Amino acid sequence: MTSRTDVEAASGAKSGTLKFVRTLANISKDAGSVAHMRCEVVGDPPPIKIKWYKNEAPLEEKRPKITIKKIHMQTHEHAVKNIAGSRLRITNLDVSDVGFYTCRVTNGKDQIQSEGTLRVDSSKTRHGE
Amino acid sequence: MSIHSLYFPLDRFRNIGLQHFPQLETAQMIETYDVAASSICHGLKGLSQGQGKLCQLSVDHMPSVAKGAKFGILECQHQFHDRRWNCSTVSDESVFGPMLRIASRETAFVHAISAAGVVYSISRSCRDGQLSSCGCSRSSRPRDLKRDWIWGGCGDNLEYGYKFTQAFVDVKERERSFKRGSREQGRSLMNLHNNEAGRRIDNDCEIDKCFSKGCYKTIQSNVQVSRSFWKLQLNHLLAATRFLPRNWYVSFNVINVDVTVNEMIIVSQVLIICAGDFLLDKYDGATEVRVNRRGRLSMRDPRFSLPTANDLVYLDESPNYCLPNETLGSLGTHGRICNRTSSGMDGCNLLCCGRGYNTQKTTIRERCECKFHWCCYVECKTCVKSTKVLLSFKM
Repeated sequence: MTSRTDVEAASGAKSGTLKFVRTLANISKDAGSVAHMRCEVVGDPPPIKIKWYKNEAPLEEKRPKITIKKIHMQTHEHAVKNIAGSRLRITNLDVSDVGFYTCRVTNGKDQIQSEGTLRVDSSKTRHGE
Repeated sequence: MSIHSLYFPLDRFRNIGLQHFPQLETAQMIETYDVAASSICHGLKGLSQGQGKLCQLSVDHMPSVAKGAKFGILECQHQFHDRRWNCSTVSDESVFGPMLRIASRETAFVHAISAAGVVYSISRSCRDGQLSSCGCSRSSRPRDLKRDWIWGGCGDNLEYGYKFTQAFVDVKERERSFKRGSREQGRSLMNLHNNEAGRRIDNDCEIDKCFSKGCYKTIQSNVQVSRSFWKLQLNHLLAATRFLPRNWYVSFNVINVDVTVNEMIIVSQVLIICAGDFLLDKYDGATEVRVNRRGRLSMRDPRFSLPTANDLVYLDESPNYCLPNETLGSLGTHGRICNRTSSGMDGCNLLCCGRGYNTQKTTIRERCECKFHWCCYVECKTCVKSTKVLLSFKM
C-alpha cells in the first residue's frame, strides 16, 4: 500500500474504497507564470474517472492554456495497479485563473475529492516566470 | 409573445450593489483568505456558489464589484427613464424581480451593463491601489489615439478588470451543465454572450466616436491633455458625473482652469456612461436568437446577419410592459409621468399605452443655481417649484 509521509489526510481525502495518495495544495503564483496541480488516488475497485472543477464549474481542457493529462503509473515509482492520477497545467496565469480547484474521483462505488486554491498576483511586472 | 415560466437560476450578484452590506466596508482591508473573508462572503446574499468561492479568494475586490453593479443599475435606470420598462428594481435580492426570468432584450441589457460596471469599477480600484493583486495598467498606447493625447503614467487597469469580471460574472453560468440544445442551455449561452458584450464595450468607445458622444477611452492619468479638448469636454464630464442633470451643462460654458491631473478622477464614471450610450444602441439593435441542436446560438431569422461578440442577443420577445404582470415582472406604466409634446417613448401616447393620463398639480424639488468649484465638486441650491405633471392612467 502506498503511503507517503508528505500526504495528509485532508477532509474528504478518504471515502470507503478510495484514498488520496496526493491531495491538492494551495498555491500562489505571479501573473504570466505556469501552475501545476496533480492528484493521485488509490482504490479497490480502482479509480475510473477523475474530473476537474474550478469554482464549482467543470473545467475543460483548452490547449495551450489548460492541459489535463492522465498520469501514467507504469513509470511511477510506487507503481500500483489500483492507482490513478491526473495532472492539470495552466499556463500564462492571470486573474481569471484564480479560484478553488477541485479534483473529483470516482470508482463506481465511492467518490472523493480534494480541493486547493490558486492565487495569482498581477501586481508585479511580467518578466519571465 | 411567448411566456416561459420555466425556472432558471437567476444571476443575482447585483444584489450586493443595491443592498447595504456593512461587512463590505472592512472587506477592502482583508488580503488573504481566512475566516474573516469566509464570513464576509457568506453574508453577501445573491452570490452563486462559485462566486462565493471567488469572493473568499478576492474578498478585497467585493466592494468594487458592489460599486460596479450599482453603477450599472444606475446607468440602466438613466438610459431607460423615459421608456415603458424603466429598469426599476424590487427590494428583494433578485434586484429586478421575475423580469430577468424572461430571456428578453431588457434582460440582455441588464446583464451587459452590469458586467460593464464591474469592469470599470475593478479597473479603477487597481489604478487606485485598492486591490492587493493588481496595479496600474501597462497597456500600450492605442494606435488611433490622437497626437495631442499623452500616454503614460498610471491608468485604469482595464485588462485586469475585464479578466476578473469574466471569471466572477460568468462562473455562475458554468456551474450547472444543461442538456445540449435545451432552453436552459440557450438561456445560459445568452447570458454569457451578453456579459461578454458588456465587458467588451470599452472596445466600442473609440476616441473618434467619443468626441461626438462626449466620452473617451481609457486615457491615462498623470498626464496633461490638450487644453482645448478639456474646455470642450469638461461641461459634458461634469454633467456626466451625476452631480447634475445631464442637460444642465449648457448653462455654463468655458471654465478658466488649469487642466491637469485632477480631472482624471471623473474618468470612470464617464466610461460607464459611454458604455450606457453604446449599449442602448445595442439594445435597440439586439438580435433574436435560438439555441440549435448542436448547442449553439443561431439566428432565429436567417435573413439577418450573425451578431458579433459585441452585440446583444435575446431569446424571447419582450412583453409590452404596459400592465402590471407579476409572472412577467412588469410593473405597468400607470402613475408614470409622461410628456405631452413628445412623440417618443416618453410621450403620453406611448407611455400611457393609449389609456390616457391625469393632470396633477405637484411641487418638484430640484437642484438649481449650481456652481462649479475647482476641483472638482458642484454646489447647488434646492429650488422648490410647483408644476403640472401628466400621470398615466390605470386601466
